[in-house]
Amino acid sequence: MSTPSGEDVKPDTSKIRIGVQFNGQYMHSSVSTPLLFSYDWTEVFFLYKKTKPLAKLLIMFCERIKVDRKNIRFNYEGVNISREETTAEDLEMEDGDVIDGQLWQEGGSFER
Amino acid sequence: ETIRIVRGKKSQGQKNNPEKKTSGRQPQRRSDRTVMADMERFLGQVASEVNPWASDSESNESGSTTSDSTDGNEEGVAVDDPLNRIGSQRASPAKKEADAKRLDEEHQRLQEEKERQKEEKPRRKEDKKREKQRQKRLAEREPEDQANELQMFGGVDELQRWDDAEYHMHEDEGQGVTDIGNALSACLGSGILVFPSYFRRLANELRTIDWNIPSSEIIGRADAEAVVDLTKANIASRPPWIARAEDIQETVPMESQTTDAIIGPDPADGLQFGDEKIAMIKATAMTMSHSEKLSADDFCLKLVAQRHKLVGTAGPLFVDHLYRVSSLDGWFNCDVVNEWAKHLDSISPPNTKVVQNGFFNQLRTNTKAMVNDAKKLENWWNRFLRGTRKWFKEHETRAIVLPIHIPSHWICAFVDFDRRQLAIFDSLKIMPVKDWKRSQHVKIFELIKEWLHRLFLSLNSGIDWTEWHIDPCPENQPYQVNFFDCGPHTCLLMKYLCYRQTHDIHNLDKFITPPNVKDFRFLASEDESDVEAVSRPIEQERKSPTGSPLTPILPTSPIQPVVLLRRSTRHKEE
Repeated sequence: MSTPSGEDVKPDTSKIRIGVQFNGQYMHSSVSTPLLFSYDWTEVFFLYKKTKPLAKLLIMFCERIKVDRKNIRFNYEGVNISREETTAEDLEMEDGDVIDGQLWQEGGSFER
Repeated sequence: ETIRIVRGKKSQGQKNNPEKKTSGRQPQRRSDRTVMADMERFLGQVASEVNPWASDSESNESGSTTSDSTDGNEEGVAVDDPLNRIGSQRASPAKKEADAKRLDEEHQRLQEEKERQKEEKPRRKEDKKREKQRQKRLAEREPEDQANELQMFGGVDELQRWDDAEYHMHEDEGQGVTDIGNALSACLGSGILVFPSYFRRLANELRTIDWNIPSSEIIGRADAEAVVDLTKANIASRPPWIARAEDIQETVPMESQTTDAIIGPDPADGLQFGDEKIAMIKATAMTMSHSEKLSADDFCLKLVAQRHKLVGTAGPLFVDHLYRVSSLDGWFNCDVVNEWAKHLDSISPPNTKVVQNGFFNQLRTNTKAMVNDAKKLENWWNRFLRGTRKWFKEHETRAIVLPIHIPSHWICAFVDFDRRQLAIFDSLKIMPVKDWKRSQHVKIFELIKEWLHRLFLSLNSGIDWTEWHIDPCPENQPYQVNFFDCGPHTCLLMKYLCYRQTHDIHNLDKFITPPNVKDFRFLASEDESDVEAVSRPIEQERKSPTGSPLTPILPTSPIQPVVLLRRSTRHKEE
């Protein structure tokens, strides 16, 4: 597209492909109400800005697979993405990198 | 080529055991002669069969002449149903009588049972009455009889020990309570002690104990509103997060002598241990929020950050996590372990790396999911190793600590490049097997080995696993006594393993004991002071004793990689 003044709009090069994958395994909510959870392997790729906070992307992913955001923890290279302000630039992500999702885990004694 | 069977049953297409499998089996082959014979027999039956409808019309002709011709659906008109007639023809009169008799007998039997049940009901009521009377009698007995009965369980004295009013603590118990109390006070920091309701019976003892805390007062009833009002009044004069005991005494009508009121609410009030504590924290949260304009939840984060020393800044820990940590039987969450790992990694010596829980999780899930797709797996390994190479330096990182989650259990893996040891510390003592290939954590060992192997390959060097000591159950390992302490166990292990390169830490079970683990829930000390109190730092030149298998000779210089896999293969090719 071209603006009426004649200047061409530059293509947005700051966007990269970011994959999010999730493999639900097991979940024990507590001793009183044990819950089992299973989910198929899913992997979704998004085009996303480098400087935009990743929280919105993760919420989008959770909405797509219909799982509550509170139950999933996301890791990139083994480091938990805990803050909402973290961007792809902070994590030094490259094109095609994948964020791993996991269910929140709890441990006390043994598998029941 | 198919084999044709000439004789026997199989020649006719029959298998050995026809009842064994019905589906997928070919039907039995029959000769043409038998098929024709069957067909003729069937046709003969059809020809000889009497048409029921034909006989119907014949019998009706005599009756229908007298009455008007109708559909036969009106009342009073006998409809001759052929199906009924066939049924009646088939059943012989003798059989009918037998059926009727049988039905009558069953009916009688059912009625008798009902009558019996009706008779039994009042009997039960009588039984209940008798039981009540018996209980009354038991209650009205003389105390001597009671004492005689109680002697079976060790006498009256032992049981009276558990009376709420006259409970006498053992010295160790008292010491434990004071320890926990002191830890709590330091944790909350404001000179206020909150006790759970089940400490109420210890009122007499607590009165006598010297608490060793300056300007502290024991508060039981966690009146959130009272504390808030009190601190509101003092915001102007003092920093708001310090609620001193003097202020409480000024504003809240409270006498120091009434210790019964001080220690804990009644269980009948409905407040539980967790609620009470959280109410207390939220109360102080309110005061903080007044000054810094934070919500109560945000404050909780901050409180955890400052007091519990688990987080440096406001992390993802919420009230739930605080409850998990501070309740004595709480199970640790992945967030708690992750925050602890992050914190340890920031303060640990530069030659050790503490990774988070997600690291091994990523390894396990991805390799499991991409087993069939070799190209994709290779691609993923490259990306994953690129991530690890950011923090892994070949000659600088000497140890890696990995917290691992297996179904509802936390364990800790430890890679030591100096001692060439790969160990897994599992605090649950189920099956102590010395051979790692037979232990329950084989897959974890194999995954870590594969990861390290690929990592060293990517750095143009290699690992010789024959020199390594792979240890599923390390010596002097602490074990948990209950079924909920594996979280704090792994957290403490991670901390001590961090300093294993610089300090002399061998007998872990001596300083990770059940009381220490309990203390960790209330006060997690972040400094090296704990480690230094227990062990002394290793001098670089000194060699450790060579006797035990856990302490092989420490190399003076960093180890050079033993086998250079890639280079050697290249030489061969050339």
